[in-house]
Amino acid sequence: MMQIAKAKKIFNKVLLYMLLCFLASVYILPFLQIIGNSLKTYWETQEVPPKLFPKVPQWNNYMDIWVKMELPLLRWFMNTVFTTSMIVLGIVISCSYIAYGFSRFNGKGKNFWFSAIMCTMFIPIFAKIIPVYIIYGKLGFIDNFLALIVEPFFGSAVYMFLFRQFILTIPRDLDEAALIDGAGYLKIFAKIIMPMLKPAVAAVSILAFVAAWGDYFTPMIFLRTSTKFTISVGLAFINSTVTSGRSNAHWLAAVTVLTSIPSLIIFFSAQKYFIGGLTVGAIKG
Amino acid sequence: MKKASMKKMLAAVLGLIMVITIMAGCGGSKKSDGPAQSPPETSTSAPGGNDKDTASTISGEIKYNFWGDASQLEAINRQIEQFKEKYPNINVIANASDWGTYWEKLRTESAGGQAPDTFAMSTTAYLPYFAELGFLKDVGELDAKDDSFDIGIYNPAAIQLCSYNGKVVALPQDMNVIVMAYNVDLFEKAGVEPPNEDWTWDDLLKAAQLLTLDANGNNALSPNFDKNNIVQWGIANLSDYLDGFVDPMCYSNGGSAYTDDGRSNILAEGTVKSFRFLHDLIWKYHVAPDFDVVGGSWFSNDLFAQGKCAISCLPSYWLFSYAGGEDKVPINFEAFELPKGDTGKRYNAVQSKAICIYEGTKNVEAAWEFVKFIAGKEMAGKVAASGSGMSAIDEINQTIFMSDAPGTEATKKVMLKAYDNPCPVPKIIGIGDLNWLVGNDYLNMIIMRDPEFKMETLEALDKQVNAMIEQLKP
Repeated sequence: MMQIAKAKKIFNKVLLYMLLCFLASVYILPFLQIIGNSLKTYWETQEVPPKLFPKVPQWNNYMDIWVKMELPLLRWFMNTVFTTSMIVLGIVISCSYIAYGFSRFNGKGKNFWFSAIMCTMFIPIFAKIIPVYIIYGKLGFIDNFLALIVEPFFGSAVYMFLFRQFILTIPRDLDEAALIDGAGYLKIFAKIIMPMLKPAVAAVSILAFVAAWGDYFTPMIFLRTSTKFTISVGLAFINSTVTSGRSNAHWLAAVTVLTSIPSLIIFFSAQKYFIGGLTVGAIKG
Repeated sequence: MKKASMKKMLAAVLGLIMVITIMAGCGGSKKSDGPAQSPPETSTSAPGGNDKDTASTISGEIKYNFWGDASQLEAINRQIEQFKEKYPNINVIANASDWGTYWEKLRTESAGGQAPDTFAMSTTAYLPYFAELGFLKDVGELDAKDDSFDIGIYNPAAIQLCSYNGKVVALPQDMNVIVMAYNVDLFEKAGVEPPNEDWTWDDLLKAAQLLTLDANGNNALSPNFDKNNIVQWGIANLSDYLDGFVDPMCYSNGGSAYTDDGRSNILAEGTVKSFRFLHDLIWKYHVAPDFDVVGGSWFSNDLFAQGKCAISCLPSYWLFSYAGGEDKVPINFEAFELPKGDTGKRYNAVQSKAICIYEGTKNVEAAWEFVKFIAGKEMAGKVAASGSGMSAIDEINQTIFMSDAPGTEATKKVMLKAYDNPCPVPKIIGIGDLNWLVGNDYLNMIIMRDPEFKMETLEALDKQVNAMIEQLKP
């Protein structure tokens, strides 16, 4: 009887792992294809049917993207690091503070304003881009990184909601104890709430990082000078098939692999915070 | 201890970000930070008829945006340096984007009142849109006031492409044709006669059938032909290339995608016949790859470039990529005009890339001088010689294009002759988006991926095109 139960357990585990391996391969296959393409010659990337890996790996592709393409790749990379860092910083600072207000304080119209902010989540960027462009034009933000980094300092509904849900799990007793001891609200936020928000900060930072790093539309619209492009816009620039009749698919793949490395490093090094931060608020709510 | 090491790590990361941000903020590019205006150090020769005094008095900074890749941006910047020799006080900043990004950006910039002073324009895809909304300056008026320049140097067809409602709103930088190309060696190997003046679409089909081979070497007419194991295709799948290939085919058969008065003509007999023919090339005759194999006509062209497909299309601005330089295609090809249809006529797409002046520019004088320079004879000659495009100036095509552009003489002669059979271009606002709807969304995604050719799909497309035309009217 015990042996049957044990066999059943092993069988279930094997089945589960087979399913997980299958799902993992489905998710990882496109990335493997890109890695494979980055090591092929141009003509190998155009083969039909496509092969996953090249006959002879062309490691020189990773040198050619710096030497032969004559594009400011390092500049684009640094631009992306700068804008992404500022966006993440802006989101963490503004959204945590706004969420603190909504979770700890009551006031007339609080629910209305909270709902109004939540509703902004449903407005697509394409619907507001022209009025935003006009405003930014008058402010002198066009072709300037300010067009990308100012808005996050004014909050974002999605991340504000995440922070709020997390702050609601922090006992109010701590705030009250600090108040009794004479601490102001700003000090309570900085010294008590923020240290306890680490998992949420990690989760929001990763989400904001990935979104900002890969953002194409906003930099595409607001940045004109090619040396100010971010990586995502630069990748589109590399792949100008229409004019030359030839895509640089192998080089594009090499640049894609390099530019996805930061996102992967950030995620894998902070994934426990990411998962913890997303789930704690959900369970205890 | 753990807290201390976490703090140290955080401090290190923040410090690194600070260093990177400082480095990103420092420095600049010669191309983005234009040099401050300074008086000329050497005397300059009189540009295009303007005297030296006029050239040095015109000053200011203007922006020029265009679609292209990095090598083209480099080429434009070299041209700007030459322009600066003639106009030392005009600072031009050029920016390039890929095709898709360029139009999205230009629309937003124009609507936001921030369009660049001068920009490239696709006369067949987007000129009516920007002209109708009043974003393009009337350059005909500027030409009339300028004795040093005459738009009469251009081919009348190019000026027609650059006009809207009777006004010339752009100067043509080039005038290109879309013809077809065949792989000479594959034709010889299969013993198929090369395309000739009298070819019809049926002749093209017969040749494609003889040139489509399976893994065992059987062609598409053979009873042993294995349609699931094709290693060489007779013709590329060009079904989503509406303005360059499909519409000229429709016209040759007495149809067209749009009527002259700007309505959908999808259900006309000649149009339906052409769509069905393209569909049959994939599903009935198995001589063209379906889109699940190649994803789109641009990728289909790659099959031709690799020698796995015998016939494809060839825009004249691809000559430098196909026939010039180190990376030219490893095949022996020649061009031919699109075959004749039921009307007994043939049509070839003729397209012009133009340069416009933004109506809201603050420096009309400088913008006009730059536009004249870029679209002028000297630059047109360089473009034609490089194989990046044919010229809108006939004299340059007859001389520089024929003698200096890459490609064989026969191919270049075909391209010149293609001017004689231009496919009409309707002046519909938003035709660029319409072509995308018809070509990519319907022909690529629905009609050509469905093994069954359905009239209901065409009827739905007809309705959608008319609805979109109404929507795009200002």
